[in-house]
Amino acid sequence: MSRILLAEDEEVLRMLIMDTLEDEEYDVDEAADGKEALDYLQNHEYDLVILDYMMPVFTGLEIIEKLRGGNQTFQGKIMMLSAKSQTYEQEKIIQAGADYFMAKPFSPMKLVEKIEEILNEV
Amino acid sequence: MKLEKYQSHLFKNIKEQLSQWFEEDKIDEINNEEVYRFLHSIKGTAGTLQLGGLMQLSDYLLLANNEMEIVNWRKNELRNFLFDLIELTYAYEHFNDVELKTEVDRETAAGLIQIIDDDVSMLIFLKDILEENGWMVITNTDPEKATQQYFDMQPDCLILDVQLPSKTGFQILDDIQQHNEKYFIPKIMISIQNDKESRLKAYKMGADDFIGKPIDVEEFLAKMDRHLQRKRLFDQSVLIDELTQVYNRRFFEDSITRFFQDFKRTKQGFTIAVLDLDRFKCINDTHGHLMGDQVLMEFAKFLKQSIRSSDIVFRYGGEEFVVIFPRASNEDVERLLNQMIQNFSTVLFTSKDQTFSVTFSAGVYTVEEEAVTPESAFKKADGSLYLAKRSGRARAMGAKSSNMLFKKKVLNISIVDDDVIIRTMLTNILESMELDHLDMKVAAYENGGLFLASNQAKENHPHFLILDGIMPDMDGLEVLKTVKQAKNAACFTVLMLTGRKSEEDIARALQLGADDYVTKPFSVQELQRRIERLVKQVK
Repeated sequence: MSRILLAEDEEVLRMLIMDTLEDEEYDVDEAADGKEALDYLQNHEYDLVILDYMMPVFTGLEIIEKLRGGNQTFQGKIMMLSAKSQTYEQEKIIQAGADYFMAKPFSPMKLVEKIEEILNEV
Repeated sequence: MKLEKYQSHLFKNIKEQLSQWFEEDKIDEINNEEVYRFLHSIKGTAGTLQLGGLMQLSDYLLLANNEMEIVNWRKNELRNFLFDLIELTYAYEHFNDVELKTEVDRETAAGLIQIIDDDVSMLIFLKDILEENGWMVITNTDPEKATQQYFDMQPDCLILDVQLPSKTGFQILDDIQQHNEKYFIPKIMISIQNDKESRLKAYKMGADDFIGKPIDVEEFLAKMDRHLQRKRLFDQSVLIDELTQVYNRRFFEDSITRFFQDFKRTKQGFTIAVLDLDRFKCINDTHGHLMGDQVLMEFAKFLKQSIRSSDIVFRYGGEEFVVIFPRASNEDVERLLNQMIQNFSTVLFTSKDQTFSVTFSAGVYTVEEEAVTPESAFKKADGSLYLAKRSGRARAMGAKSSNMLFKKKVLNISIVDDDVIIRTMLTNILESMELDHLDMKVAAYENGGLFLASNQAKENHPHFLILDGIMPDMDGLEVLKTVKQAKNAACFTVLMLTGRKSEEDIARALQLGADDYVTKPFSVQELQRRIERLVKQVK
């Protein structure tokens, strides 16, 4: 079973994504800010990390830098959620080391489809 | 996918935040960072929850917020700033019932726009921005009902979403195609699917315009303005009211503007009278609508015969008429109208075996100062009409006779309701009401105990109380009972908010001395009108 970490500070969105992913029988941990996300990442392995861009303590971008920067070797896939939909913002996110980008607002069904696609590739 | 659960969770969070800001006494000022985070959080969440209107509104508020550069908000300023959001939250939660209750008096409508969309928050959002621009809006989520209403109301403009649950917007266009050919009604399609194929299809099916979602509000309003202007130009060839053969409301609007322009040039004053048949609804109910029409025709004929050739009669809508008297003083018109009321009451109508007579009331206002606008002049005349009705009907009242009734009095207004949305919304409505002759003091309480313990409740000033019927701990009926048994019981005018199906509660409330009731969920406009009416009663 694939393991997923979801880091999203908007409570209602987190609920929605958690419920949707658990319905699909993924094993999901949830973090409400950047600090919680990092704690999880230090102690567990994940196939996929879903990060919101704007979060308290550490932003999604800062977490990616910690996972992919320097001599770090994070093996899983990273997906970033963001309302910043301009192309140059997306490029910045991909350049920092994210594998996928999903613009907010997204349809929950689209998100699940995308996740399935990613995890099938792994 | 069922999103209701998450949607209601979001609304619950919104409510909690509002309650914390507006109702905790410890808080005097609210830091703008909190406000920004609040709006940002809604914006980020609403779109995914298919609350397009809420997303657009919060986005709009965020932009406005950026421009305002406020560091700390005072409570009432913030409440005002967030009012549309509060109203949307309320309307969203109660929409399905409100939709059924929305009644529009077509004849008195400015420009009537019909919107069909299944995203309710989008409906509410569009309705709000369009109504702010002075148009009237009817909304539908159900295509069948929408088509029916389209034929009934004949809106001035139709906006419809391409994707709808049981029928597509294209199919609706198909259904009304027959009608399209006979009447000129602009039709605009909106869609999240903004590709060339959809656009072409829309135009081929008879749409006049196509707008992609999310909507650019400024562009949308500019387009609407143009569509409605074209429609108006088309309609303006019609100036006479078909039934009564006097000028119609549209022509009144044009005429009054012209009178004001002339006044600025010539400085010659003129008098406006608003006339309304007394208990007209009763005539319709007792003798039928055909008889009602007969009375209207006769009344219009009587008016034309009773005035000078330079005076102009308009049918303003329903049983309401307006007469403009050039170069006539307030006293002269008041005297003339009182004479006319006498004369008209001797005209006899016969329905089957019954004979009856009809009276009317009138409010008069004379334009003598340049600062007055057409709207405020009409409002003043209408206000005098209101006083004429309140003073027993069958009379005309002008500035002088109604002035004697004006005294600046303290009016306490209390709202007791356990729903924070209703409390904030009503506070805002009441505080923004213009009542020149009253010094209003508005307060809101989340339960009856707090209200009864307040100082205001014990004062001997007139007191307008809006009371929720169903509340935890102490319900509204109990509060009402206590109020009505108090020493200052006579000070109170009570409006109860009751559940729709609780006829027993309504009967009980009236029995206990409530002056009026509104069933929940209520339309905001309806409640506002009701409040205005009751507040004016307070003497």
